[in-house]
Amino acid sequence: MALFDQMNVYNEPVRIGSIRILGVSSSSSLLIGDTQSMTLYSYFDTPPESVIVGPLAPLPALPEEGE
Amino acid sequence: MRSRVSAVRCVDVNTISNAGILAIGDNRDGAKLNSRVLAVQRSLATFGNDEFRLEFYSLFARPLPIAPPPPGPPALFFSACAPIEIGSVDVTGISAASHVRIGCGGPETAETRIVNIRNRIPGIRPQVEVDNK
Repeated sequence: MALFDQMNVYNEPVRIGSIRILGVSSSSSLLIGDTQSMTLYSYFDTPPESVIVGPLAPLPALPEEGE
Repeated sequence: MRSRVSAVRCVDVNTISNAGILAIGDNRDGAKLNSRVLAVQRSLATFGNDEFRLEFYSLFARPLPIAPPPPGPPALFFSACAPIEIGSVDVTGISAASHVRIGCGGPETAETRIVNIRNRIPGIRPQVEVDNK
């Protein structure tokens, strides 16, 4: 049995002087206020196989001789 | 519907890009952000290959995680006569499915998937000047 059946949230006034942020990036959020729900994702797929150092790229075909 | 009066004296935002949002005030429908990025940097271009379709990469086929329902009893929010007063907001950049909101809103949904392929061949200078870091 739950301790209570409902929760009441009273939002009081918000007063902010100054905010200084360099960057908000990659599914990030700066929220001054209220929200019911928030869902954020972020993927970054570079290492290890995405950085290839070596002669693995297909080279362009050599020009035909006599052209 | 939750509602609050939002007052901002000064907002200074330099750049908003790649599905970024700056919202001041209430929003009933929330925000749904989406940014899918594929960046390729090669020493030699391979124009013959079709490698720029996002479905070729497993990162974009990965299922999104599903958040469990919030625990506990349901909540009721009361925001009457609760203003939001802000002096100044200074944000240099909002990018890649990010958002800055001053006020009430939601549900907020975002998604960012980035594949960054860099193919550097030693000894070959790229035909276009690039910064291989």
